[in-house]
Amino acid sequence: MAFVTLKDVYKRYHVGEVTINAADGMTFDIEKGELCVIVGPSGSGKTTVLNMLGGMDTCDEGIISVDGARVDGYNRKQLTLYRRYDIGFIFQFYNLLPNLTAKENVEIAAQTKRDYIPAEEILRKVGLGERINNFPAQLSGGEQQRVSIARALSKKPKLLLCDEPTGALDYNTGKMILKLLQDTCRSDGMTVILVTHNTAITPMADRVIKIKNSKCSEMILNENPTPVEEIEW
Amino acid sequence: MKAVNKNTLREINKTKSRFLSILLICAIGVGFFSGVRATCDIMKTSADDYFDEHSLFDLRVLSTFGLTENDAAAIAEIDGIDGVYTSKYIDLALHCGEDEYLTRVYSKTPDDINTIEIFEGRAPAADDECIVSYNILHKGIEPGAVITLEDKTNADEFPLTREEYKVVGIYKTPMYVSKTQRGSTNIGDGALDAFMIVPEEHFTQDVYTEIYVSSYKLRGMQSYSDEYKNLRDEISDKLESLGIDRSVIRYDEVIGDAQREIEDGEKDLAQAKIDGQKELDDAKRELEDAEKQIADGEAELVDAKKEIDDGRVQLDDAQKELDKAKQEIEDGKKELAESEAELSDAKKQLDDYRATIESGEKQLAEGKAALDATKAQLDMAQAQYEQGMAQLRQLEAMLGASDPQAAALRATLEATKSQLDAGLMQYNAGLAEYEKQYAEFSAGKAEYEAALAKYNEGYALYEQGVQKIKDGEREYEDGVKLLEEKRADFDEGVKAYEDGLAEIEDAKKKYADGLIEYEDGVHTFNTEIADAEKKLADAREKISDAGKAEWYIFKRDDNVGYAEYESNSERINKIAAIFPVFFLLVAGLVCLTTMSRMVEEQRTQIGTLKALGYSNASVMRHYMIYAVSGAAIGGSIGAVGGCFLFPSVIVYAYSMMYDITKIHYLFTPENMIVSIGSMILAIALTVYFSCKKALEESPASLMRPKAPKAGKRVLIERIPFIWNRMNFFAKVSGRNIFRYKRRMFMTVVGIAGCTALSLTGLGLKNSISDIVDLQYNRIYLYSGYLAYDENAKPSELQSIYDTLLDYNKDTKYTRALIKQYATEFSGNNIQCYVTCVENTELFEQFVSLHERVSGDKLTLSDGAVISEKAAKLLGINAGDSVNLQISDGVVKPVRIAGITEQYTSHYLYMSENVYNEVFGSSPKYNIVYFENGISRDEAVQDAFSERVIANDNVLALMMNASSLTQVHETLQIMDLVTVVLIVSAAALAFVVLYNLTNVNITERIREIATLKVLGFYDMEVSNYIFRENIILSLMGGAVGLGLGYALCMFVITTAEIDEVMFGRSIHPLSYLWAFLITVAFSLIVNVIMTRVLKKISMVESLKSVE
Repeated sequence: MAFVTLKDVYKRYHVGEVTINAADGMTFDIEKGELCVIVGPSGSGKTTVLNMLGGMDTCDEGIISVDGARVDGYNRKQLTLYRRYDIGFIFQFYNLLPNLTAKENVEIAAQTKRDYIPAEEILRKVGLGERINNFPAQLSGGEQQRVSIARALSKKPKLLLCDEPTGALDYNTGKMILKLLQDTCRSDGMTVILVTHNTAITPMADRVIKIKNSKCSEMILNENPTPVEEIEW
Repeated sequence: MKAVNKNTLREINKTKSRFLSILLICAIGVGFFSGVRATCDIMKTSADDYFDEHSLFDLRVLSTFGLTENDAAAIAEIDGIDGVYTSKYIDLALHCGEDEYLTRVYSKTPDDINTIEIFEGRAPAADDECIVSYNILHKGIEPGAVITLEDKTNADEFPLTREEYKVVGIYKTPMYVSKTQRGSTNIGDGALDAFMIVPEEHFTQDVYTEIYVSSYKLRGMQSYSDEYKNLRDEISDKLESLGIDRSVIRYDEVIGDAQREIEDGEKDLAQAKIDGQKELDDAKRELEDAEKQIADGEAELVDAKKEIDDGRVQLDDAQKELDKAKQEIEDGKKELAESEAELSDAKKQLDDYRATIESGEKQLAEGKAALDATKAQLDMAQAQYEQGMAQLRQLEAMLGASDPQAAALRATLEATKSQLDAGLMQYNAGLAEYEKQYAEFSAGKAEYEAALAKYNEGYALYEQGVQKIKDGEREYEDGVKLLEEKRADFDEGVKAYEDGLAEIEDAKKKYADGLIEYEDGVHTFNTEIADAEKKLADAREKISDAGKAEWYIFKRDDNVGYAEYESNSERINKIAAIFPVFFLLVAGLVCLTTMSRMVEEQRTQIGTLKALGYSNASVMRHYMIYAVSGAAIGGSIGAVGGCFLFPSVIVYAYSMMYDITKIHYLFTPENMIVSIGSMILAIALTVYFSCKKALEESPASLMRPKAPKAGKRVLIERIPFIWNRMNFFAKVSGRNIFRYKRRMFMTVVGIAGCTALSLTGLGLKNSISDIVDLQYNRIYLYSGYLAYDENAKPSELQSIYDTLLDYNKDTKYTRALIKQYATEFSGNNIQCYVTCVENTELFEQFVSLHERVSGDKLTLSDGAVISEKAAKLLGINAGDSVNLQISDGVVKPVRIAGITEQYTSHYLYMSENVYNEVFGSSPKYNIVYFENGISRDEAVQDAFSERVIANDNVLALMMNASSLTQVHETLQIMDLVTVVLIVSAAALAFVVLYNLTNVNITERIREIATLKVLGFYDMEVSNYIFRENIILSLMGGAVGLGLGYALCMFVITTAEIDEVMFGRSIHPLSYLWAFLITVAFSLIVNVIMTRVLKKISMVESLKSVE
């Protein structure tokens, strides 16, 4: 079985009398250590998939398994533990705690786990060694996203989930963030799943999953992923 | 409906909890405001309803000369008056079993004035039936009880035709609404205990005591309103001027009779004085004689006693002698017996001896005879022999010697001769024997003779002894007889002496009785004379002082309870001034936070509307409608609820003291408008300020998301020692608290309010329970006091003392006079118990007189001492003089030397000297204070009470321990107030914390969701938010303790009942409790909010900001 498996996953939202299928029999696999890009237009259900994978949402039907564990059957408590120990999440808007410094923002996540990378070390690694004592408001968007990545990586997750990590960033900064993610995947063997609507960045991935109408429409395996530096969009 | 309005409606629907929180805080704020505000009016109106329903008089006319039908008719003429009702009353002592109650006995008046309410039993039907007021109902008087009335004024004639009545009903009268106070009287201790109603015909007086007046013009007006008071005063003025005319007429009617009566009285008195004095003098003389007789008798008795003692000694001596003689006789007798025995022995021996002698003599005689016979034989034989011999010689001569016949004859003669010789020899021997025996016999005989002589001598001596004993016995017997006689005499003497002694004792007892009787007589004489003189003097004074003949016009205000009720209701108004403002302030602050948050959340929408061309005013309208509709709805609910709830609670609380129970709820437009309006205004202002800043921004900047408030370092970060030791969450909480300063301020204010209210509630309870302890354990140190008849005789008083001393011989006691008087100082009036004490030194051991703050001892020898609350109500300081109304129209100043700590009732303590000075007469004591160290144990107290009450001279007994219990019960009203305050505190804490936590959560929902995504446990997420709440609660609690102290002091001083002074200190434990209550409330809110936090959806909350 693959490292990450989704099989016939359904997620339905009921709004009034209308039922919306956010996931309509979603099925795909991702192998360990891969950089996977999930791409699709707005409202195609890609974020729903990511949320379910991240234990932030549950599916109504189907199988989700991560590293051999059946996430779909987790209860509330198990989901919390799953998020706490297995998952690193990166958001479009960083979601840093504004009242904590960069270092503290990393620590707050790191300290939930016994085995973690010290905040200063990981911040230095993402290139923020100089700014560890700054508050988010004092950092640029790219810097904030780096803090966010550092926060996710510090607890050595099994899976790094990124939801439009470059969505709020300018071109160059976005590129640097993607580079950081690709490097992390390559050098640390981290499994990274990245959700975006920007098809231009798909070449950097080992695996591209295209989503349309809440279904996995296509899965492409990239034998030779392009380094981020070479991608233009 | 316009789209904008639709938007507002949807908004409300969407953000129900936010809308609800505005609504709720407004409801509470307005509820408090309007409710407490309306309470005063509602209390007054409810009272007015009660008075109207029971047709309470508007004015009451009394006259020093009594009132007549003519007076009544004249009053009826006055414009505006449509009800004139005559009535009589008299103050008497009501007795039922052991108990005595000072009772005002009223004549029955028509049902349409001062309508009484019979709530137990029935109205009287028979002539001997009466009804009594309910306040002595549970003191042993029930329908069916038989009571007797006693006139305490010692008037010649009993003022009623009956003295005994049967109680058939228990009633309430609107004239006295207070359940505790019944007004003053000039009998007994001055405080009325009860009322009763009997038929008017039972009164012996012809004139009426008072006339009730009611006016149709006043009927529709609220009794406590100015409108009422003004018109009533107008009518009262008219009555007063009428009174001047009528008094003159009445005076003329009465004065002639009175003058004559006085003259008669004087004559009678003079005669009575002479008669009485003579009687007393006689009695005294008799007593003196008796005393002398007793002294004489006693002297005699002393002599007699001495004689008796001597006689007894003599008797004893004689007895002793007799005993000795008897002993001697006994000894003699014994000796005699012995000698008798000896004698008889001797006699027997003698007799034996004699027999022996006699037989010896006989033998001797016989022997002699035998001897003589033998001699004769021998002589014959000799003769024969000689004859034979002669024959022989003849023969021999004849025959020769050798002749055989001669030889034979010789031989024969020879034989005869030898025989004869042998015989002779025998005879000689026998004779010698006889001679010897005879000699022996003679000696024996002589011995016998001698013995006989000795015996005879002994016998004679014995005979003599016997004679002597006989004589001795006779003598002894004579002696005994004499002694018996003497003893009988002596006994007689003793008996006579004892009789004498008993007689003297009797005489003494009789004398003592006589003396007491005499003293009683003197006392009665003196008191009676003094009374009579006083009566005459009074009468004379009354007559000489013609100006005193006047009418008194009393208003409802002059009734105890009526005015007090008004001041109580106004006291609530004072509290209404501070509490609601506080709640209004909190409501405004809560609303401000909520609305600011809402505006902030909707920046994009505001920007969009502005971009669409809506004016600032129409954008603000949305928020205005939102908040103001919340305030209006909440306010209306609050106003109605508050006007219902608060007056209910307060009137209920006061119904423990007043008869007014039916509540007349008032929802006056004025109150509604003011309370709801001020809330709406406050809310509108908060909305304006919340929107103002946002509306000043350009649409473009509004549509950009506003960066969350930047993090900032706080002061404690500069102290690494502390900061480095804080864990992560503590750091975050620390920063967050200071990040939102307004919210911090709000929370602290809200929580502080909660703590302050709780502390006020608990503090009130403390200060009340303190009273009981301070008053009954620290100030009243006596065991109890008892009342007796002020006219009691010395013997009766002594019997009371004896009863007390009998229980414990170390009992300390002193007499006092307690009477209630109206007291005035600079326009302030109160009823004060004037207490005059006989022995100030002892009394100061019974009641601790001291200044409260300094603790300085006060002593009555320095002058009069007034209780603290009385001094405060009068506005008097040490050194000032209060005006004491000692009788109608007579006012005397009393200089106050000190103010003493006292919590219940008003007292003015004074020594006998001061009393004499003020009243111009010596006090007639009617109270005995005592201290006997009795235990507080109920059984011990009961047993003691029973013993004391059994003394008929004791009218009433009040033990300190039982007063304590009673006061404790009455003060339980305040428990309710405490509950109200704590419930309000809870409501406040809930609303503030709930609201703020809500705002906190919505504002930081992304942070919360992020933490959840990071895999924080529910507990950790909750702590992230609630740690702030707890820290702020602690801060607010601390502030609230200070605030609570101030609030509690304010409430205590305004809410105090006139008669009681509350304690002024809050117990340390109450601070702790108030604090804990606050913390508990904030924890409860946290628990509730934990559920909200749990429900927060990560996905929803983290959706990209549009």
